[in-house]
Amino acid sequence: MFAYNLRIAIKSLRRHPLLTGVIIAGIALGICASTTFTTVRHMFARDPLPGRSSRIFYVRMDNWDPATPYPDDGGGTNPHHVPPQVAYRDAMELMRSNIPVRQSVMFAANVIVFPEKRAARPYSDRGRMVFSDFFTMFGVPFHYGGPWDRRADAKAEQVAVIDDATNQKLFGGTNSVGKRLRLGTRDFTIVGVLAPWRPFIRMYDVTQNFVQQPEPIYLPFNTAISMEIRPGGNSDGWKPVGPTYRDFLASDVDCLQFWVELRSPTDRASYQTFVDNYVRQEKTKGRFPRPLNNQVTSLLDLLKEIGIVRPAMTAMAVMSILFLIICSLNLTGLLLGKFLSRAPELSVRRALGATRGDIFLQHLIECELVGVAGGVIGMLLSLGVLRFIAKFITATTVISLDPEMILAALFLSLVAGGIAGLYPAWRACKLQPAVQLKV
Amino acid sequence: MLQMNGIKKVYRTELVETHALEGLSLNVGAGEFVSVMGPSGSGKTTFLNIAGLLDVFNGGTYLLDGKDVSRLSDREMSHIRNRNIGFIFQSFNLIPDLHVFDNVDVPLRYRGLAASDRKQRIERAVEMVGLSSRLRHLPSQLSGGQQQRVAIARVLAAEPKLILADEPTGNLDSLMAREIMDLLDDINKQGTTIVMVTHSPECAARASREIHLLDGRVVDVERPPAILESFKPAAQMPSSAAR
Amino acid sequence: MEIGPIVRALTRNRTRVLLIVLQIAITLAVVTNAVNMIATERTKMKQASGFDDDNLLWVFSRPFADSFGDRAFRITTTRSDVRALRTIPGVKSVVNTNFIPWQGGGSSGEVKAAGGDGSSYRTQEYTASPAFTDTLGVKIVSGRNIGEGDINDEPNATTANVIISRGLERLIFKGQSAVGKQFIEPDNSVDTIVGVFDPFYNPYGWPIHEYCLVYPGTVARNGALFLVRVNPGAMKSVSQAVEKKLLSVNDGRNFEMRTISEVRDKYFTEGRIVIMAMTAVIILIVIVTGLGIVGVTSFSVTERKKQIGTRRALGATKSAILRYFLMENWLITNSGVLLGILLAYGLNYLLVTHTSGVKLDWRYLIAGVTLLWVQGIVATLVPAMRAAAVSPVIATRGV
Repeated sequence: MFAYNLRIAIKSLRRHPLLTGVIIAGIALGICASTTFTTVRHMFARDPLPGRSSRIFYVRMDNWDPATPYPDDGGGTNPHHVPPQVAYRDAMELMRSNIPVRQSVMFAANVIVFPEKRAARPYSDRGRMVFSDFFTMFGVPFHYGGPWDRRADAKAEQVAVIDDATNQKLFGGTNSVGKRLRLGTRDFTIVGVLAPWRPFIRMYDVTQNFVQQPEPIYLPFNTAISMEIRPGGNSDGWKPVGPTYRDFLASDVDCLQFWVELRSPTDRASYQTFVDNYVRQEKTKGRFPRPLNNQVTSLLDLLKEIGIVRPAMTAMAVMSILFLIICSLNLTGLLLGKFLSRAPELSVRRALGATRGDIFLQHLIECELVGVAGGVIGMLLSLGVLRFIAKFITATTVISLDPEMILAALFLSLVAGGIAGLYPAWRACKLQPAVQLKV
Repeated sequence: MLQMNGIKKVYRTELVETHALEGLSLNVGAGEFVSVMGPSGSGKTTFLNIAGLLDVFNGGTYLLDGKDVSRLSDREMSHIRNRNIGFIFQSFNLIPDLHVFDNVDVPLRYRGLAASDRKQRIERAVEMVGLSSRLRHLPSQLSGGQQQRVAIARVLAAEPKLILADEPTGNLDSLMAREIMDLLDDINKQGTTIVMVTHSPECAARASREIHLLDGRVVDVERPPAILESFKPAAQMPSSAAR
Repeated sequence: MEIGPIVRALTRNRTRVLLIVLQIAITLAVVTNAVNMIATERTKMKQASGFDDDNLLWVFSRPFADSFGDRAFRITTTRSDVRALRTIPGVKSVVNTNFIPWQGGGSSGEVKAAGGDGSSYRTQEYTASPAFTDTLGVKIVSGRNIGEGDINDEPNATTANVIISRGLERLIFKGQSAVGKQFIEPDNSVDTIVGVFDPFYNPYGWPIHEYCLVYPGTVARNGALFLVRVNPGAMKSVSQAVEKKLLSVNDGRNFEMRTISEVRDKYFTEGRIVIMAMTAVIILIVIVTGLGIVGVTSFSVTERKKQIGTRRALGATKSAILRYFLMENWLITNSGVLLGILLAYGLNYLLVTHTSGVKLDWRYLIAGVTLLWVQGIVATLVPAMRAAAVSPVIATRGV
């Protein structure tokens, strides 16, 4: 019976190709718009580190000017008025704690790469200076080798991790672990090569352009300090700083991101106490003049705090869903007209023994057919539109439909087709066989 | 076959109540060929709708093949229509999108028969109406008489016990009308009960019994006019005597 | 024409009418709010920097050669770079500065007015050569510009002659001229204001978009940065010539280049997406709703063919039939519009309270209603004309 109903439905759709086209196009547009904009929003709103994010915390300390609190942009994105980064000397003290399972202070800076090949010109690329725990904490995938060990951190060894693209460029994609890499004035040994890795949100540094691609080169933090590399990116200070690197290290300039991984809420509480105690102790030395204001914020809370989901994205998602509703209403109207204009045929079928259920099923199948056809076309359209938007936002095509969104879109099209078709199908099956027959 | 007793049918609209049938009672025996006549508004259509389980009634009893159908669900009524009743309409009521084979197939589909069984029934029925060469034609490609023959084939394939015909020749010229009436005669002879609503005295005369409706009542069941009776072929007399 | 019978006929087709009414209502709500969002973004994007944005090119020289380890060498090379860039045909002016318009940030610091009430003011702070004003295309409105003689690249200098934006002058000196006044820096060095320039607008993470302080100096520590102002139309030829020209000064470095229009576009990415998306939504909605009206009216024409034929047989003219359908649609549209106005304000309320929405401008509602009227007429016209063409003969036919 289902197969027969399917055949009737297809036949009916093919009988009015223009109407069918209009109906399917309407659903496709609705699905495309709603899928596109909810996906864009979803890209920002989703957990960037599923399973781990609740254990990852960002640490901030208020070492700002006693006269004025750390400024806000007026948009309420820094409710605690705490500097978004920490200073070197404090980071080094915090790193002594053994409460976190893992921890890493870090910064971004450009490094100059000298390719082995004589012909290739040296070039400058983005690097990130981290502790070895960084790779595990943020789930960084390796293709060859792995992170350096903690001893390399302690001894400021000249080891490096490079990303897949750099490995392609410098070593033709072969296993380059153990090979030499000249960076600036020093030679490094490659210990790991990343697998292609493109988190949509560069969650470990949201202080600037957080949709940027992760850095191509990773070096031990202490090694970078020993090379007197200055942090790129934002830096905040309110006190004068001397010109030398030593002056910088001893200053209160906030320019490093500090992350810890804490096992449990208990650990989180004791870590907060640890940070507070450290600041209290520094206060006795005349530092940290402002009231105690230290923030140990979970990754997800931090993303929420800085407003990673832009209000405009929510607005567009709402508008696109309303658009889908319009498309569904439109579909309902057209299907209703179509089904009722077929009343004579339906009366004949009823007279010949079709039950209400048969008629209902036949029409619902027709609705679901257009729903799914529209959904699939809409999703394909959406893929194209998303690529375009992704180019716009990140200069890459990183936004795409994850399985979650594909399922959601298919489900949405089934629901849209179903809801839009329910009423017309019900009306069709309620047609009295006698009333319509020209007897 | 068909026993109606005191059937009432009231159509209600917002403003008026129309009494289409006012206590209609009649019996049709198995194997009979009955014609129902009456002026416009006499309740012929309503009678046929109720007889065919297309519409529900408001009072009285209706036994179809000995079964009380007043309390049946829509689903059960659909099944009875599908298995026991065949309809022949004035305007043929073929489905325009479907070719002959598929049109005849419709009731069989709703009965859920196996494909081979359906094919056999369809081909036999279409052959009986003499349209085997037109299996893949659409209704629009056939003449009126041919369309009505397809409609009859649709009935034949389903092998119902009762055929309800509504002005089966109303839209046809006299030559074609005679062909159709001959076909109905043949079917009746094979034992199928036929109830036919018609305006045409010639057609009505082909039936073994005539029933006249007026204002929703049977006015004269047992009065086939004597003049017409004399024209009837003798061979049909025995069936009119049944019950 | 009487409205009564039309309304009574409509109430008999309640569901179908309701569907169209709802569709029109939501359409009005979405379209007006979409236009409102577009207008809001456009207002933001219209904000002028006050600079010759379209003709500015940002050039960044990243040295890798060891020789750049020496500060004096860096400074002399940077000066040679500026001279070299000026020789490129089509170049109007070149400044060596760490200021980049429209990147959404920059550098900032706090200053106090000497002899003031002691309050500190946060302001954007940049270092630049004297060509800063000429290159950006801003004017010195009082005092004088910084000159070559003001440049002091000594890191431990405790005094400087500076120019400030008029916005900063107003903020700190409240209507008095800033020329000749002094700032005390947090490190107790003293800046003497020699001139005030205008206009200046550069969006920043903090509300200091119009405040700017410019130190005379050479920017060369982590690579040299330049802004190049070109003659209109010369952007392409100049940007092609830059790298070669600078390599001829010193080839121990790489370059990065971006036009300020690109930087600006990137800054307004979100706004541009909103504008494009909402424009698309408006166009598509109008099409979808329009097709919906065409479809539903067509069905109702088909359904009423016999009735129309009867009307024609009874003496209705073609234009009367046409008017009937247009009037019917206009009534439906207006019901939708009434509901839509409520929905539009409701949706706007949600957008304002839950997102960064701006209050709905009633003029967009008027425009939206007009659009729906026009759409209604256009969409009804085709099926209505089909209805008018129905022959009166149909009335006597039996279907």
